Amino acid sequence: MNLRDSDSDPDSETDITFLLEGTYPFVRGGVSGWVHDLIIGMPELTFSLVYLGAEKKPDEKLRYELPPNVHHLYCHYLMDLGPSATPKACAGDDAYFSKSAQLHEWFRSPQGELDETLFNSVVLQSGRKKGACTADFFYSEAAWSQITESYSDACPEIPFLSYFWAVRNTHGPLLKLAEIAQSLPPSRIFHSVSTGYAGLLGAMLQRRTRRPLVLTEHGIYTKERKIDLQSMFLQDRQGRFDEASESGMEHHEQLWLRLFEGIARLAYAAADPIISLYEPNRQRQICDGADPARTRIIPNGVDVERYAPLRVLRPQQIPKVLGLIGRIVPIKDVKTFIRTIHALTAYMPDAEGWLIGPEEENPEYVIECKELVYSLQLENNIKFMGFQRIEDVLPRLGLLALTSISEAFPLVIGESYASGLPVLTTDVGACRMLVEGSDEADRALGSGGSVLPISDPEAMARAAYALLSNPVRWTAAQQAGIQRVERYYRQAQTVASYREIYKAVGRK
Amino acid sequence: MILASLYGILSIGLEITSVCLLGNIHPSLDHIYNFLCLHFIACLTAALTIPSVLPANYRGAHVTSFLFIFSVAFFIPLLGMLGLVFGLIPALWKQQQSEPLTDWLLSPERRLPTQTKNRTRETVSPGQLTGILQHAREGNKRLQALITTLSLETQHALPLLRIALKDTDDNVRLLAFSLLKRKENELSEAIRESMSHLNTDSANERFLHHKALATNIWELAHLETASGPALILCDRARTHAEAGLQLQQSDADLQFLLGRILLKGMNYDGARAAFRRANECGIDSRKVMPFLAEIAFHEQRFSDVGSYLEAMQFADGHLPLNHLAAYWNQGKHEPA
Repeated sequence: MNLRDSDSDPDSETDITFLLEGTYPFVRGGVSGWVHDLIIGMPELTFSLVYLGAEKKPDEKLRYELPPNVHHLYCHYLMDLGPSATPKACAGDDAYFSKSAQLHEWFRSPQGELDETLFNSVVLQSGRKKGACTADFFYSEAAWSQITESYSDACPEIPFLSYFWAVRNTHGPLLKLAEIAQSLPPSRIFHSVSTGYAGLLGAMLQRRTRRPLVLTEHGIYTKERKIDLQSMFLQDRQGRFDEASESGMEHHEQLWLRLFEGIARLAYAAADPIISLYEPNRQRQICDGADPARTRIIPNGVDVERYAPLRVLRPQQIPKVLGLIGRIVPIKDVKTFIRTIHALTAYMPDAEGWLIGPEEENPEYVIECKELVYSLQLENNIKFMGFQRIEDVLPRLGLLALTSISEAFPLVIGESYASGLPVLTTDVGACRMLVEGSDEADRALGSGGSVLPISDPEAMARAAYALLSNPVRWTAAQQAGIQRVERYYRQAQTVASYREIYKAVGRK
Repeated sequence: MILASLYGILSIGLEITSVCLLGNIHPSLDHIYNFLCLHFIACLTAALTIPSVLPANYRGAHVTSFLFIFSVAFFIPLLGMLGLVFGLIPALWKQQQSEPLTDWLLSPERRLPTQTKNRTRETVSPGQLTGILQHAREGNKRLQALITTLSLETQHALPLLRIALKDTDDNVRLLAFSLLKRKENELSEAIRESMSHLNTDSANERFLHHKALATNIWELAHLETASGPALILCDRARTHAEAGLQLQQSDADLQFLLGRILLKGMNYDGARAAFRRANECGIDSRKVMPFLAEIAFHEQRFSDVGSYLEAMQFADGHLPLNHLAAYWNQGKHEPA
């Protein structure tokens, strides 16, 4: 589906094309908010958006009002491989599949960068008719030979059907991406907000158009996919005596891992610069194949002027309310938040916990959380508020509580600081740096709250009680947070950094 | 066989005779009628006789054979019968003469496993995995140790997953989280399933569902990270255990489970009584002794702790928890 702004010329070149996988403008969250703020912060530039989803959902709708400098929105769905044509027997292009075998070998044991001609012919499918590769892959004898040979060599002990469908499902989206890359209009700069399919599309576009690719990673896509795949494929092996592979997964399941690792390397090879939000993530990018000379760090920034007026709206007495602002999904470990409130009510019976965030991403998990609230008899203490305007809730909270199992650089901490709210957070991602400071000068400002171990509701409850019951300590944390965000994490700094990057790469 | 042959000859004779009746250039109605009668009898005789002279594996389908032979003989006068007798029967018999059995061939070794594997790698114990998770410097080693917990029973895996949950490496931490969550989801699903069937009319089924609920909720309590919610779950488990025991008092496993639940809730008298009942209902006393020892410890009856532990001795003299038993049986242990 392509939505185009009817007033603008579809062939006119935009300044920046964002490549977005499963995020802005159809999904709310930190990354989406970041993209939105960046576009608004640079009204002098024109933007196009390329949204990559799995399948079109019936209830899919824009979650953000697109700024006026967004001229195009292209939506593509990678699991939608188009109407299935009647299968026709064909021999297939042996030369193409021979090169494809070389590409697969590179994926298995990558040595240096991928040869450019191999990339162009196999990944980009240059010089081939549109749809030819898809037809070849699905129906040709050459493709069948390659699949059966790989199966016999690598994993003959597993069911062929499992291997076949793993191959089909991993390759289908890649063929679709090649078609998308051929069809997109020109842009001065491409900017991908993750590796994965968006990053690979960026690499394809960079090769095809010779226009620069900027890559910003908020989390680490490969790591997140690895966790998803492991939790899906790892099976209990009690009483089994076969030797599991080191990863705990079968060969055809590892195909997925190798795919994402491989396309991340392709994205890193094509992108310059490669941006992360904080140092450990930059190190992770280098481990995964990024050239250290191309990497840099640009932390997230907060619109302090937007949130500062909320400070005067705070009540005199500290509200005994902990707020978790974020999607209600397992990675936010909302159940630990609920257990924290349960433990806190032992010291503060009127304490409340507000869950402020969209609930549509994982409805089963929302039900589990509500059942936990019910079983702990916390119906009067915990409120599921759904999505709210953050300005409406921040002044009514006593503490922001982040119980996530994993985070990168949560913007919500900066937003809370700017509004005068201390935070409690688990020791993940950049959270400790945000609460306690990154360097000596930053640490001298003091602590903006408390950092707690993961999945320890009793520790978090004690820390919450210590702050809520001690106005002097709470105020000190509030002031430290305000000073930290005003000095180091202003949105203007982030926008200015990206403006400079766009100028520099646009000149090349 | 001789009889069948005679009948066969008879049917052929009748068939030839019937056809001869049509030999006249202008056969009369009587001729045609006689032909049909004789032809019918010949076909009937053949259809009844021929199957008995076929090779053994063709004799099974009586009705089908009869209909086939009768149809061929009846609708193809003379030639059909001759074809069946002199064509079909010899052909089927010839097929039965199999080629001489070949000698056994020594086939090459097949790729399928034909022997058990030699396990050159020793089984890793929970203790070793604990050490790796707590002290190994490389995140990959800790991740590997975590994957190895999939081979362990839940009771051994759980403490290791809790250690991994606090790991500094995202990969390890997230995997531990998803493995714990998976266990929790499986238990929650089983609990929901049992709850939905609790209103059954059958007392035995209700007992089984209560027992399953007590067991699963008890396991879920072990997954809990906070003591408050864990105690709430223990209380729910106790309710279901007691409900189950009201329906079937002599279930030793459920009595034993109730004892453990009550012990966790610090109801020592109740726990002791439940463990005693479990023993009476058939639970090996050596399984019950460690818990009675624990109760004695909590009640500060330290002199009884050693005797309970010593009573766990096996027939061969092997004493589980022998270090613990030795400590408690050496000298007096008085409350502080």
